[in-house]
Amino acid sequence: MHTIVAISGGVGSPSSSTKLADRILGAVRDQLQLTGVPAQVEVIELRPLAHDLVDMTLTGIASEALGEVFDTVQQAHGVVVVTPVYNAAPLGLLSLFWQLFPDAGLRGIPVLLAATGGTARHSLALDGQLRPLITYLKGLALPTTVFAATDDWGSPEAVSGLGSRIAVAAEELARLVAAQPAETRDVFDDLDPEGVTPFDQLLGG
Amino acid sequence: MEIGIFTIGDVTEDPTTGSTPSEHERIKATLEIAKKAEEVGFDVFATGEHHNPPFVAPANPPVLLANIAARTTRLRLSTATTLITTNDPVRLAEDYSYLQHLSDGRVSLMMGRGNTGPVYPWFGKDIRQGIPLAIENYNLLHRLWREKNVDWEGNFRTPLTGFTVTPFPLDDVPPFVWHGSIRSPEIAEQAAYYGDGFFHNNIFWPASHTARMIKLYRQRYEYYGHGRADQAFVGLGGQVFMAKNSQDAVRSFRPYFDNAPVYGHGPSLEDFTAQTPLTVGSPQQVIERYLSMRDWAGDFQRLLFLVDHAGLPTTTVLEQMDLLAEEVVPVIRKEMDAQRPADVPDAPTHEWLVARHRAGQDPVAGGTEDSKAYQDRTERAVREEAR
Repeated sequence: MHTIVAISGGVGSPSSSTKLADRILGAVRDQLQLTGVPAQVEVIELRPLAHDLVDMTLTGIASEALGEVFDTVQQAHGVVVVTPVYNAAPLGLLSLFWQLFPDAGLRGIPVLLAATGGTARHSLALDGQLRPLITYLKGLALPTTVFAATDDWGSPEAVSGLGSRIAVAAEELARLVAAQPAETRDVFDDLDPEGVTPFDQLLGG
Repeated sequence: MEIGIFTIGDVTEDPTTGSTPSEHERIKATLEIAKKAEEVGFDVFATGEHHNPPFVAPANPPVLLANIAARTTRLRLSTATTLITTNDPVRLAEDYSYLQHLSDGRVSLMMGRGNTGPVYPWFGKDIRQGIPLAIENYNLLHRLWREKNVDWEGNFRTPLTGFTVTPFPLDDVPPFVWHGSIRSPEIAEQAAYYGDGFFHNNIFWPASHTARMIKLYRQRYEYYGHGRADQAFVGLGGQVFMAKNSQDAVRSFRPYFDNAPVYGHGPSLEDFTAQTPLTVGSPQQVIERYLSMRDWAGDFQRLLFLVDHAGLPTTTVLEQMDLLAEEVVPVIRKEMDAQRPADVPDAPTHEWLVARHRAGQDPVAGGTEDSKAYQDRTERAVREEAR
């Protein structure tokens, strides 16, 4: 089964970022269903991991809960990232999550970038600031991003166009997810005794 | 089972009084702690190597260990760690060999790569070469302690021609070496290749991670034909604070925990004790926690406790050592020794190493002809020849 995980940096309850994550995941799942690819989707909110993220910043060690989320994301066939935008920048909590994420941990994974904010003038925070971070982790950041401003939630579709923006981005993600085999992706394990570089090669190297 | 204490010599303010010991006081306290270790019945005292404040662990551990050797008769002396990256392996061979003679064979080493990046350029080395330095330097050290008139060329120091270490190791048997690493597979592999010990300083790490590092080392130890995986030499760290009553232990230790250099202002004491070997409570709680390590680490031969850190006053450190030595160490030692199968070795002593040497059973680096590693190497060579 293909899996798609959304990471939501929304901290409110209810959170508009999590709401956007739900809508995007729903659209991706529907797209996949049309092509006969069943998918399992999951939203992970960072709020319950906030302390763990700061602790890891100080100690360098991921808590068990945070380690499990890192693994889940690395095993996904597609990732959706939704961040609130504060003062024209992605929320620090969400940036921190990716700054602590295992090196190259998004290798080969398509990533849809999305954000919520008070005004559409925040929308370049995704392309200017989040995209380089995802690219650094070797994620395939998709060209189309989704930004939902406060206005969008209260306007008809003909005015906001949010639904069609989601549909375009969801189709991009669904196509790259469906192109992958359905098996669970392996997380690279550098401590696997079977995969270790023999010492004479280290010595000779 | 070898149980001891290890120090990094941090000079840290006592958060409950606001007073900080001088470097001189801290160094003298270290001597007191080492003497106490012998008096109360610990097996080992190990010192870090440091080159920067706020630490006063010696830059060259044999300086401190030679002094302790002169004040003790039974205590084994070790390092935690010796920097195999930035020290000249020729000097390491000479200094530790001399210390081994002075102390009548009470010395072992733990190799490490250093706690801070800047230490590399202070000694003219490049941090990006950390692993290659550890590999090449130790390979030379290993030869210098076993061969005379060594001819050698490498990447990181000037060549040697016909060089012989003076003094040569006591009874022609080098000190036992442990390789320490938190998360580098190359170092676990290195320890396995030579048939040396592997020490995981797990005091900040969850058991799940430590167990994976140990498994890697054990499997590769067997691969190199030094024995079965469960016969390999494993060492672990420990960190505890005790009082007869566990609430008193928590109350006394919390201010030190909350302000400690590594984890202070981060995870709560409760989270950290759940996630790492830190145990704050009664001696019985400590015994149960540390005996349970055998469930995921197998039979381990060395356990070193960090007791003097985070600004704890020396009197408190000495009290903690009394509690450990009276209530915890004898129980752990007895239980672990009782559970260890007869064909799994204990922590190596000089006498044991001499007996192994005279029996012609020293581990062969990379494995003897009977090992899977040897067979794989031979097959690889044949394949390459055919190409």
